[in-house]
Amino acid sequence: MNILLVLVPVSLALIGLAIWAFFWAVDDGQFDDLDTPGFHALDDDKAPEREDPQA
Amino acid sequence: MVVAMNGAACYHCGESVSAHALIRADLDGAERAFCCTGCRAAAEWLHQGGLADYYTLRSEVTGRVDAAQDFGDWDSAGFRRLYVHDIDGQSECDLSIGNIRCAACAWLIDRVGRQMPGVAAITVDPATTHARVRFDPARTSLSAIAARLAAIGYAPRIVQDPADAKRERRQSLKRLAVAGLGAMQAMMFTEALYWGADELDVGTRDFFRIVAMLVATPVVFYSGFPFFRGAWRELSLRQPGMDVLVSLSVGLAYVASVIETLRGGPAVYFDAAVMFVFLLGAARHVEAIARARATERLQLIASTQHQHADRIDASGHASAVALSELRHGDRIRVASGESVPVDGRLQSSAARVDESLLTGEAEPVPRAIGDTVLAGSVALDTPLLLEVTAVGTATRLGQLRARIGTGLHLAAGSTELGQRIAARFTLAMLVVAALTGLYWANVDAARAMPAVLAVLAAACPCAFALALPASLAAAHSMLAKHGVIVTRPDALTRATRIDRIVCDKTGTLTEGRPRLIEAFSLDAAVPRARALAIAAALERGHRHPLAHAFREFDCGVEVEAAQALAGSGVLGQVDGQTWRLGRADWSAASDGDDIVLANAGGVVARFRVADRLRAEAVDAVRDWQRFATVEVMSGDHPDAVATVAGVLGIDARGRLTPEQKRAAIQALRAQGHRVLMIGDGLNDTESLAAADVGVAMGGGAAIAQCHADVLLLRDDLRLVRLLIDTAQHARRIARQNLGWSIGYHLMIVPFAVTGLMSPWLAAVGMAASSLLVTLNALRLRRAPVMRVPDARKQATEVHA
Repeated sequence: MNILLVLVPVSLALIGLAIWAFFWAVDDGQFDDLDTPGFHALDDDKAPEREDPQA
Repeated sequence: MVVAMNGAACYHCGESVSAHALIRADLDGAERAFCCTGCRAAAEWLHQGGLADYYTLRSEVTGRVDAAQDFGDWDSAGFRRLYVHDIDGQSECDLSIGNIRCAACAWLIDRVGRQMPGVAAITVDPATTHARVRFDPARTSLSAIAARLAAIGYAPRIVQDPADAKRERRQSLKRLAVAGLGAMQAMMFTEALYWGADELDVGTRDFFRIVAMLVATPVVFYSGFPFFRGAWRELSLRQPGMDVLVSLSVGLAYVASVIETLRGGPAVYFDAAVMFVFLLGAARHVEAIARARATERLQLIASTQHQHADRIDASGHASAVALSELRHGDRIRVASGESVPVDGRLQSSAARVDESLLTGEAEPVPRAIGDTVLAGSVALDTPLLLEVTAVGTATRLGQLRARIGTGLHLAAGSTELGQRIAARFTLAMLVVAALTGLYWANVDAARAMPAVLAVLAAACPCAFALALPASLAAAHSMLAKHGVIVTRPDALTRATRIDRIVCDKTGTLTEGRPRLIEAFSLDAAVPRARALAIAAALERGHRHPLAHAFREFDCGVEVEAAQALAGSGVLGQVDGQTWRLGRADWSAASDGDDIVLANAGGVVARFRVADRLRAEAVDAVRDWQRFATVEVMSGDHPDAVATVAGVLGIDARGRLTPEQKRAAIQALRAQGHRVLMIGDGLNDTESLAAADVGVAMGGGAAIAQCHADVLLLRDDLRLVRLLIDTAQHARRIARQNLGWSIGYHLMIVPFAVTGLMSPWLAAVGMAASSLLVTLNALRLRRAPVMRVPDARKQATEVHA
């Protein structure tokens, strides 16, 4: 059962990592809007061209 | 759902277009019809810019493109000082964007931003309509960005940064994540204890217990913090409720487990504590998000109104100042088409204002020099120069708001059924636990602790506490998906027993916008289509309601020297002739109610214009009549109200002031009726607040929306039935859930008291019971299918 002394701390560390990653994603605004980003996958690959500033 | 007349709908905004409308364009090989030139320009621009995908991506149509708005003052120094912040050499500004209906709108605005030079990003939250624009002030201007958004139908307004709401939402999500991950881990470690309870040596057992404690601690204190905070608030108000119960259960389970861990007792209950925090937290999160987004949207709309004014200093120079800086006696200018931010005395020439927000009368009101113009009215054809007489809460509008505010405060005093039951349940369970402890301490001291913990675990009111929030959360999110936003938590409870439905007329039962019904040409030289085109040209750029009726016939006829005459009509030169369009006695010295187009030779054409019933109104009202008495109350002329009521087969009361409407609703309530009021204007605001349930149409005045219990994001009357059905369904499910959880506790507590049930078995039962309650509530998410009315059959026109 000594293996538990290694595995359990490892799992705790992974949890900590997961929570840190989630907090980072929330603060990054990734959960603010869950609908619009789905549309970006449907975009063409090339970005739309900028208009001529003089126009 | 927008229904089209005669099969034709504006390609851009979906508004119905009559068959002889002339505004068409050829887009990618298909001819499309439009309601106005603004919508056509928007569609053409999107196609040319390679953004036509928008039309296939969107799930809801947008609003129509309104007449060009001037954003010139958005670049002024005063405006910048008030609303634009500079960050890293770039400028940032918070906007609320009108007409956002679905995620495709947000996608389109993002794309438009990327196409504009100098714009770093436009980030839109489609749920709240909040947008943050980041741009390089050296390369572009705020007014250019605003004008571009307005040109495709998304008129922006300046708002305050809703950062607080966003921070709270993020915080809640983080708490939920910690609870979820922590609960799973704690379950895993305590589960190991259950399975190997007898074989484990004491060292391994304590190791697992300490690890479970490590995981449970942040869940209880970080994720569970809102419960403890709520409990503290309830206790300080001396109204113990759900939060007290939850905090006690979680706190006791946690503290008892810590004690057991430290002294090496028989069992720990970390899993019960964390599962409880997670399940209840999740239900509350869903419900709060659905409601918070709605209120956030309303606050955003509310904060757009009147934040700054153009003050004229002694030298005649205008500068933008915040409303809070305005003082009695200052002089301000209000551009035509804008709403007046203060009460003031008119100093410029006589003008017409639209007071429909205040009085409900759509007819423009003339104001002479020296007259008082009230805050909330809209300058129609000329800019106004005003001397400020009252600001903020001293204005008539401010007083009205304050009055509504106090009404609400009183209504909120009643406590909810669930809260009262919870308080009694808490007390009862604490007494039972104490008695159990006392009994066993005297009989068999070693069994006292496990018995008390088993009682608390069995009594742990997870299922009970979840019963109401879970069904409310499911109902709120289902309704929100259909565009029904419930802004007051107890509105659903009150919507279950409605037996009276009171409607406003204009804008609620009718579309609230005059439309052309008939057109006759009386002059062979000017055919009907030409007469319509000239009329549309004369009305172009005017804001009074009549102008709307002609907009779809505008095909670009040149007009010169156009001017509007208050209360009479418009005149202008087309092809060298002077044309008049307006009331018959003015334009052609003839009589009748029609709108008459005349030139020097006399009457050329007659037009009949009227407001029209909403396509779904007949169906919806017939549907309501199965369970309620329906009545229309309006400030309009009794004949017009009677016509609408006649078509719908309902009772009518006309020419009511807002105060009389409110009194009528209060009288109905005093007779024991439960009244649901549907309205859209500021004049309905008091009656919306006075009714048991106030429903505001999404297209109506912002202040009415802010004081309603329920907001319909889509102007579809059938949603009222969906609201009532869902409320009743939610009540049924809540009762089933309460019945189950009370029955479960009654059944299980005796076993725990007698010591026959071990604490861990009680905890497992608790989890299964919670799951059952949650799944039962999720049944609410299946919405009933709404029937779609056939628009062609119901193109009922009424004069209004």
